[in-house]
Amino acid sequence: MSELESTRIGGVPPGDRARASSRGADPSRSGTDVLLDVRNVKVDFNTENGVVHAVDDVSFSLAPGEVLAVVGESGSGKSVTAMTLMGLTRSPNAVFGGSARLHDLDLISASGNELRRVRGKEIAMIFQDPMTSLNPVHRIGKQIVEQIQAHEDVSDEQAMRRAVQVLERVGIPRAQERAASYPHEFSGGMRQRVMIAMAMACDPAILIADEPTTALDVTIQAQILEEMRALRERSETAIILVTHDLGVVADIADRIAVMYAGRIVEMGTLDEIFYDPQHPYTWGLLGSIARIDRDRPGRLPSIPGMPPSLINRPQGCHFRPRCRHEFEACPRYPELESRLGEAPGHHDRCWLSAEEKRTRRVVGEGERDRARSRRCGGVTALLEVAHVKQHFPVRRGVFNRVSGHVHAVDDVSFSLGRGETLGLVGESGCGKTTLSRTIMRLLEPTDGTIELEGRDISHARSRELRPLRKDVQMVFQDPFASLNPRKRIVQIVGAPLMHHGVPRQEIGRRTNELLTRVGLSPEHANRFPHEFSGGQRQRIGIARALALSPKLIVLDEPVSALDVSIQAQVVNLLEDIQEELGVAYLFVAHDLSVVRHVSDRIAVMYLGRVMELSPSEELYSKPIHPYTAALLSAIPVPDPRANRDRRRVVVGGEPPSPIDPPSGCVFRTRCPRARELCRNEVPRLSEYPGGHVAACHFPLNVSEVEVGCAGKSPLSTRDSGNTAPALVEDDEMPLDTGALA
Amino acid sequence: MTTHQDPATALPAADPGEIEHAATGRTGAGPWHLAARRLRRNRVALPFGALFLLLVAIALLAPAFGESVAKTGPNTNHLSDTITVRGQERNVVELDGVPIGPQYLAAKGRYMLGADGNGRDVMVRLLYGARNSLFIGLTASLITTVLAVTVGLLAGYYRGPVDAVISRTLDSLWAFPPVLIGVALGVSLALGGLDLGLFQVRGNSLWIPTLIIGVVSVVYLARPIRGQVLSLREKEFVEAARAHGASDLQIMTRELLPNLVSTVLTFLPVLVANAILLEAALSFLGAGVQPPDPSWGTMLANGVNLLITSPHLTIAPGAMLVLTVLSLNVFGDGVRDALDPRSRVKIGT
Ligand SMILES: Nc1ncnc2c1ncn2[C@@H]1O[C@H](COP(=O)(O)OP(=O)(O)OP(=O)(O)O)[C@@H](O)[C@H]1O
Ligand code: SF4
Ligand code: SF4
Ligand SMILES: [Mg+2]
Repeated sequence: MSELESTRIGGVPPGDRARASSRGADPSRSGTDVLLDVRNVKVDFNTENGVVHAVDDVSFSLAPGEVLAVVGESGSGKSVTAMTLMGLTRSPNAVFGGSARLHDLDLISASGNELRRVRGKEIAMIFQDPMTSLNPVHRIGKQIVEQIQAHEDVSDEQAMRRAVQVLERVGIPRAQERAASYPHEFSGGMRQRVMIAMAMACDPAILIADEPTTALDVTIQAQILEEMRALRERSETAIILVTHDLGVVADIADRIAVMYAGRIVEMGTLDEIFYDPQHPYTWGLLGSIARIDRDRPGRLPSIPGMPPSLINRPQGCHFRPRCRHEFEACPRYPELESRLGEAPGHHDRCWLSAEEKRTRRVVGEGERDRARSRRCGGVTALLEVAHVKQHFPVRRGVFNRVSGHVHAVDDVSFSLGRGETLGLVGESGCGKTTLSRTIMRLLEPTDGTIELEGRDISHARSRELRPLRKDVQMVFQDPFASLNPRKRIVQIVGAPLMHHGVPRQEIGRRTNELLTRVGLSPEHANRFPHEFSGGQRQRIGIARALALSPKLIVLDEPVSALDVSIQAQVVNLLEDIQEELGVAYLFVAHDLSVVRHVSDRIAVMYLGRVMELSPSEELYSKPIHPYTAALLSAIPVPDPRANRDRRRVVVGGEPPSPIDPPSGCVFRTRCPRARELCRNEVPRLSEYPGGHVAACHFPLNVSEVEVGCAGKSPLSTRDSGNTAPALVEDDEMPLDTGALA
Repeated sequence: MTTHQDPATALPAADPGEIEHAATGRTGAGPWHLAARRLRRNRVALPFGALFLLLVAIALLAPAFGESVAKTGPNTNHLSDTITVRGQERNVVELDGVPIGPQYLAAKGRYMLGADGNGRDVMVRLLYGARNSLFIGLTASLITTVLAVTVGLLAGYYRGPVDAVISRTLDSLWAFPPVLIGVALGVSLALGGLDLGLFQVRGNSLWIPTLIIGVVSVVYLARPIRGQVLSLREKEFVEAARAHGASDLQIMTRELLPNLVSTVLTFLPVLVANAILLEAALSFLGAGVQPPDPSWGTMLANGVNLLITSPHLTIAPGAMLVLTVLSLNVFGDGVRDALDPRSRVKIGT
C-alpha cells in the first residue's frame, strides 16, 4: 500500500452506501419508521467531588432491524447511555433530562412499573461479562422460562418449549439437554449465547448489547457476531451495540455514533464514518488501531493526552485540549448537525469546514517511515526455554485425590535473543499466562529447563533466585490490581530498588528518573494509584519493571485493558524503551493486531502447545498452521468494504478441556483439515521456508515438496517417526487466507 | 433539561504527564484522607464517636471525682455511716440491709447514684468500674488485633498445612462458647494466679480477664483477615513484589498489611464493644474482675441480689454498658461506610 494511502483514512470519497441502504437505515429519514426516538438525553451523577456529566445532549433514532454502534473511549458515557434506556442507572444521585420514546412510552420519565413491563419484552440487554450476568443457582432453562413468564401468560411446558427453541436458535447444541444445565457448566462463549437467547426469548424490538464480545476470544467472538447478524435478519430486532472495537463495528453495524466526554461527536452510516470521518476525534480513533490488514507502521499514531474529567469539561468543543486542529471558533459549543451538503444524515460536532476536514484528515504525523528493523535470529540467546511443561493436579472428592492434570503448558520450547521481542498469542486458557509466570519463576516448571544467559533457573530456590530477579521483570495485565492501592507511587516504583539494597536518597532520585522516562512527572511520586487513569497506571507498572534495569521484560497483556488511543501511547513507549535500553520483551496478548505491531517473531499457542512460531510479517502474510489461519481470519478488520469482500472462516466449537487434551494434534477437534493421521500422531515442530516453524501434518501455504523436505526443527523433540505426510490437495484447502495475504 | 453552557473552568492542555483526575480534588490525598473526609461528613456517627470519647474521659476523671466530690474511694465501705440529706441524717445502709437510693445532687455530690449493700458510693464505683471495663475492652481488643492479624496473615499467605493448623485451632475455639472458656480459664487462674517465670500475675490482676478476652476474640477477626489475605495474595501487585525479589516477610508486612488496616479499623469498634460485654459477662459470673475491684460486670452481679429493693444498683452499670456498646457500634458503622466508598449514601447537591 502506498505511503499516501496508508496515511489517509480510506481516501475514497463518500457515496458507497450499498450496505446501509439495504437495511433501510438512512438516518435522515424521519417519522415513519422510527422505533426508538432519543432526544437530548442527559445524565448527571452527584458525587462527592462534584457533578459528573456522564451523558449530555445525546439524540438519535433507531429504526427496526437497524444496528447502531456506539463507540468511544472508556468513560465516554456509552454504557451509561445504554443503561439509562433500560432504567438501570436510576439512583438517588442520578439526575436525568431529555426523553427516549419507545412507542408511546418515555423511557426516561417512565415509572418503575411501566419500565418493568417493557424490559425484557420490548427492550432487552446483554452485558459484557457472561460470567456474572446469569444466576449461578438456577438451571439455564428455568431462567429463560422465568423471563418468558414474567411477560406472557404461558404454561410451563409452552415456556420451556420456547426456551429450548431460542437456545437452539443461538447455536447451543443439544439444547433440550443443555437447558437443564447450570451456568457454570457452560464456557464463556456458551454463556454469552445463553444471554442472547434469554434476551431474545420475548422477541424484543430492541436489543442493547454492551460490549457483548469483549470478554471472548476472537474465534468465539466471530461465532457470536454471526449469531447476532442472523437474529437481526430473522426477527427485525434493532440492536444498539456498545463497543470500543472498531473491527466489530465494521463487521456488523449500519450506523455509528461516536461518543466523546458524554456527547455524540459524530454520527453517520458505517461507510460515512469509516471512509469520510468528519470529526478529528474519529480520525484519531480510526488512526490509532493497530491493524492486520495494512502494512505495519513504524509507530502507532496516537491521540495525545487523555479524556477530560467529566466534572470540569473543557469549554466549547470538549475535544479541544487534544485536538491538533483547534482554531478560534472552537471555544464555542458546536452543535451536532449536518455540516456536509451531500450527506444530510451525517452529523458532527466540529467547527472545521468540510474542505478543511478533507484536506487535514491525515493521521499519524508522518512517523510511518520510521519502521524499525526486525531482529530475528543471529542474536545471542538471552532466554532458552526447552520442553517446558506445567501441569497442575486436579483434586476431586472428599479425599482430595488427584484425578487428573491440567496440561496448562505442554512441551514448549523457544529461545529469545537480546533486545528481541517475541509475541505470544492464543485464546484464553491456552497457557500464555502460565507460561510467562513459569518463565518468571513464579511457578516451578513440572518438567523442562529454562535458561537465562546460560544459567539453568528452572529449579532454583527462592533465595538463589532473588539476585537473578533483577534481570527479568514483568508488567501485568490489570492496571488496577497490579499496583498496591495503599502505597504511594514512589514506594511502588522504588520497592524493587529497596529490596535490592539501594540507599534511600538514591531511590528517590531513580524513581524520579523512571517516572520521567515513562512520561509521568516526578510530582506524581507522592500520589496514590487511584488518582491515575488506566494508561497512567500501566506506565507506572512499566517504570517499576524498569527500576532494576532488567534484560527481559515479560509483558502479560500490557495494553488489553486500555483504550485504543491509550494503547497506542503505551505501545509506542514500550518500543522507545526497547530502542533505548535494548531490553528484550516477551509480549503476551490475545490481540493479534497489537502483537504483530510490536513483535519480531510470534509464537501461536493452543491448548498449552506452540502451534506455530514465525517471523511476524511471515506469520500474517503466509500462515502455515491451520489454527493461525483461523485466528487471523476471525479478526474483524476495521474496514467495512474489505469485510464485505473477505471470505471469513468461522471455526466452530471451542477449545477442548486441557485436563484431557485430544490425542495426536490438539487442534484436530476444530481443524477443518484434520484427517486420520492427525488423530494418531502428534505433529512435530518442523521448519519451513521463510523462517516458519509449525506443528502440523498438513500445513497451509506450503508446496508438496516443501512439506516433504521440511526440516525437523531444532526446537522439536518429539520423535514421532518420520512418516511422510499425505499429499496436500489444493481443493482441500478450506481456509482462504488470500484476503489477508 | 439541556444545558449548552459548560462549566467555565477549562481544562489545561492534557499531556500524558499532566494528571487531571476526577476522583480527587486534591493531589496526593491518600485513601485515609478520603475516608477521614467521608467520616467527618457523617452526621450520625460522629456524635456517637464523641459520646464514646466522653465516656473515656469520665473514666479517666474517676479518682478526681472520688477525692473532691464524693469524698470516698471505690472500695471503701460505709456500712454504719450516716449522711446529711437536706439537713436530715440518714443511714447509708438501713438496718434491714437496704442501701440508700440515688441522691443526685441532694447530698452535695455524695451518693449521687445511691449506695450498694456495703455502703459504697455507686457513682464512684461506676466511674472506677468504667476505668476497668474500658481498659480491659481496649487492651483486649489490641491483643486480639495483633494476634488475629498475625495468625490471619500466616494462614492466608501460606495456606496449606499452616492454614490447616491455624484454621482448625480457630474452629475449635469457635466451637466453645467464649463465655464458657472464659469462665473455665478465669476461675482457675483467679485462684492460682499465673506463673510464667519472669511474669507473675496475681489472681486478682486485671491482666487475666484481659488476656482471656483478647485470646478468645481472635477468631472473630482472624477469619475475615485470613479471607482477605487469601484474595489479596492473588493480586498482581503481590506477584509483582515477588517478581522483583521481595521475601515472604516483606510481602506480608509491606504489601499485605497496609491493605488490612481498613478491615481492622472496621472491626475494631465492634471488637471493643464485644470485649466490654464479654468482660461484663465474665465478671458477672465471677471469672473476670475480682471483688472488691469494681467493674460494670461485678456491679451488676452485686446488684441482682437487691434487684427489687434497689434497682439503681443494676440500672446504673447496665445503662453504662448500653451507652458504650451503642456508641461504639454506631460509630463503627460510620467507620465502615467511610472506608467503603461504594456504600450508597445520597450526596447532597
Ligand atoms: N453511578 C455513577 N455515579 C457516578 N459516576 C458514574 C456512575 N456511573 C457512571 N459514572 C461515570 O460516568 C462516566 C461514563 O461512564 P460509562 O460507563 O458510560 O463509560 P463507557 O463509555 O461505557 O466506558 P467503558 O468503555 O469503560 O465501558 C464515567 O466517568 C463514569 O465514571
Ligand atoms: S471544534 Fe475545534 S477543537 Fe473541536 S474537534 Fe473541531 S477543530 Fe478540534
Ligand atoms: S495436524 Fe492435522 S489437525 Fe492438526 S492442525 Fe494440522 S491438519 Fe489440523
Ligand atoms: Mg462500558
